[in-house]
Amino acid sequence: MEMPRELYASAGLHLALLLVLILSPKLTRTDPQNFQVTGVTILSNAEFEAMTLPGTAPDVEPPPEPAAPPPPAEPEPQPEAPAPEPPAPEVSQPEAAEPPAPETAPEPTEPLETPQASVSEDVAILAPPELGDPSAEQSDTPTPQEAPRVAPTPAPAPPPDVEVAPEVVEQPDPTPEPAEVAEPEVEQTAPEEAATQIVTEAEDPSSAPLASIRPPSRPNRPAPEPEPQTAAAEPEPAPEPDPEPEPQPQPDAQADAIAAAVAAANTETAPAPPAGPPLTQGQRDGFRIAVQGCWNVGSLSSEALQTTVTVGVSMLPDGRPDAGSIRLIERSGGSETAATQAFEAARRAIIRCGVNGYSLPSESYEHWREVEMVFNPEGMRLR
Amino acid sequence: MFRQFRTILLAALCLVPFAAAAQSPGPLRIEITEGVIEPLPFAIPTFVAENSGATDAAQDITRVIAADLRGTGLFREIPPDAYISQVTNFNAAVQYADWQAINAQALITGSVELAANGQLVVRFRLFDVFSGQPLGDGLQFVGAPDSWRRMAHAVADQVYERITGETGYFDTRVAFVAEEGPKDARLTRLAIMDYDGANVQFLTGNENLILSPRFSPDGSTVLYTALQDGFPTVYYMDLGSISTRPLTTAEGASAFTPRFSPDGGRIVFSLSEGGNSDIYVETLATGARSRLTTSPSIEASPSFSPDGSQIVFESDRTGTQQIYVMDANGGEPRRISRGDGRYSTPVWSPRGDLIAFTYQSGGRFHIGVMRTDGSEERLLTSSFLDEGPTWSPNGRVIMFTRETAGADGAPALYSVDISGRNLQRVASPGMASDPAWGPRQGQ
Repeated sequence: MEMPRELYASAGLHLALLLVLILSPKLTRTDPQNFQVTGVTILSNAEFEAMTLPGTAPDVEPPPEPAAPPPPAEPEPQPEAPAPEPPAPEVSQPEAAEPPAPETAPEPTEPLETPQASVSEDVAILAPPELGDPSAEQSDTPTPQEAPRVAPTPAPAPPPDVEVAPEVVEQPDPTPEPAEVAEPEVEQTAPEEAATQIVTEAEDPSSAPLASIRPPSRPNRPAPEPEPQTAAAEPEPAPEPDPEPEPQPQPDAQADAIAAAVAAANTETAPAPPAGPPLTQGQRDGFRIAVQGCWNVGSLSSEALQTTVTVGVSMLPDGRPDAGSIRLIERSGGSETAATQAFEAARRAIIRCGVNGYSLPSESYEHWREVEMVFNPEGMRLR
Repeated sequence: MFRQFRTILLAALCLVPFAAAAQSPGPLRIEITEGVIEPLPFAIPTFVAENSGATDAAQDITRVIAADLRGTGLFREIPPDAYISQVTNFNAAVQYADWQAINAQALITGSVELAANGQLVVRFRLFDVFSGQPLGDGLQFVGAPDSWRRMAHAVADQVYERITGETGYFDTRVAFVAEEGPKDARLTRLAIMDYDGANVQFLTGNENLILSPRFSPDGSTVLYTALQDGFPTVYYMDLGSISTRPLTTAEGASAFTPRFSPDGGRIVFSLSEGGNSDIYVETLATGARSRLTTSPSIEASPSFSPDGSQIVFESDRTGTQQIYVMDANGGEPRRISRGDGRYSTPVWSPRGDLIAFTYQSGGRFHIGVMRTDGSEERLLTSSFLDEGPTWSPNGRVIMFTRETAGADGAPALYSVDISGRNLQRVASPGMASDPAWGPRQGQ
């Protein structure tokens, strides 16, 4: 009974609401309003940043270009890259303050040499090598050459500077027996000069010496150098002169310095001879095939054919195996007896096919001086 | 400047390890997975005769040793004519270079001496030519002059063992059935000989048909089956006294295909009663007998596994002959052969890893081997009739009977390596069949 009354009230209210909405002018207005049209421009991030930067003027359009600036930074280094090449001309100038930029570029191009730059932090002076062109004027700071002097103390023969101080022959480090050993080379005559300035740097004796050293190469060249050195000796005029010697030092300066750093850190291995290029896959395959041609498993027991043995052997420089060095390193898959048989078959193979020496590149001897051969008979197993 | 140099310095230090590695590379490591399978060349100069009485023996022994090794298919003798060095002194230093030059990989030197006490003394040494060192110690054997063949086989066994790592099988004997006469009226005898066909001895007359001889583990006894009055009977024969005794069976029953257990304390055989044959095992010491199978089908040719825990046998319970394995105490057998043909005469390898069998299919017979679970089945031979495999003591070689076709067909003994290589006929006097390879003598 009461329900209808409520329904009527509700319906009435809704109806009233609808009327109000329909009659309301704002809600029913369809006339287009007035709009103010303004120009719209699309700004790039760079432009936007330029506009928002405090320092930059409110200019809108100009900004776009500023964005480009960043790249310029890169181009700079490139031009400098070439710098390293010229260095040959003059050695000493280097000290010029400019170095910063140039140095970075060279690193990537000459990976191995750059590291040697470590010669010494103080040696920052040495950095010079970069800009050879700079100008002779900068020669005023010839100190760069001194780096080598630092090295003089250490017996090792410093190659590059040799020319620098041709006259000073006092310290011939005739490491090599050859009589020819040109003392001039060994000599880093420059010592005097360097000493004066570098004294402070001398604190890092170990590194300095090594930097200029190239023990192996020097000894071999003495013969041809004699003449130039003597000639150079005359021009003693110390500091900058020595046109001839300079050329080499420049390029080597950085490389040697870097090499020295490596040598210093590598003191134990430094003297080790170069290992030569590693064996190519083809050479390795050739070696493997040569051995397997003599690996006769026909007389092995079934158990031995289930035994994998790793055999170690020392090779002689002529490619022949040192029979006495053949040893069993490890075995798997069989009893000790089976392993013994498998090892003996492997040993026979190594020796028999190596009687006349395996075909291995002598220049890579260090890479195959010690060999470990894994004889895996899995594929030869009797089933 | 300084910063950059520091950077360079750090870079240099980082490279140091690599630089060091480059200067001192580790051992070159290569893996060899392919080799060659060919006989190993060996040289065996005629053994030095220490005195005139040993001259013939020295030559004979040398030839037997060489033949033993050659016969394996694993060794190749280098013709004596090719020798650069001649060994005239057993204790002289070996000229390895001379032997390397002819590619001899193994060198066997020896001497023979007829001692004052009438004994023959045989000494030998084995060398690895390319390694330039002896393989094992030198050994000496002493025996009666008429046992020179055994001493030769003993030397060959040593050489074989030292090179292959497996025990030799030259100083062994084979029991077999010697046959004679036409095919439809064949006469048979139980016989025994050295593995190479020498020293043949006939152990029985030819009045009965002899079948399936089997050696005891110690080689002192042979079990065999003889058909007497049409009924098969199992006999024990003591080889020392050549005396025999039958296996007792009930009236009307017949036993056949007997075989010793690995310890020699039991025998397992087939016993046929009332038209049904099953597998039985009997303890020799007590005579206790137990039945292991109860199938209405025919079960035969039982063979123990080397550890005595299982028995493999043939059965036609599924309609055709197949191979089954069961526990040595009986139980439910499991079929391991899976082919469509007929499998029979299974024999467990002394190594325990394989089971040899006779396989018949498509009108041909084969000798094959399979794993004990029936996997990796391989047929090693094929002919008109190959059957009855028996293993060498080291499980490397299988001997069997091969019979040729036709009215003039005759059985002979053959051997083959488990690899399927080196198939060859075994020397025997006349026709021979049903071989049983005995253990190494003296063991």
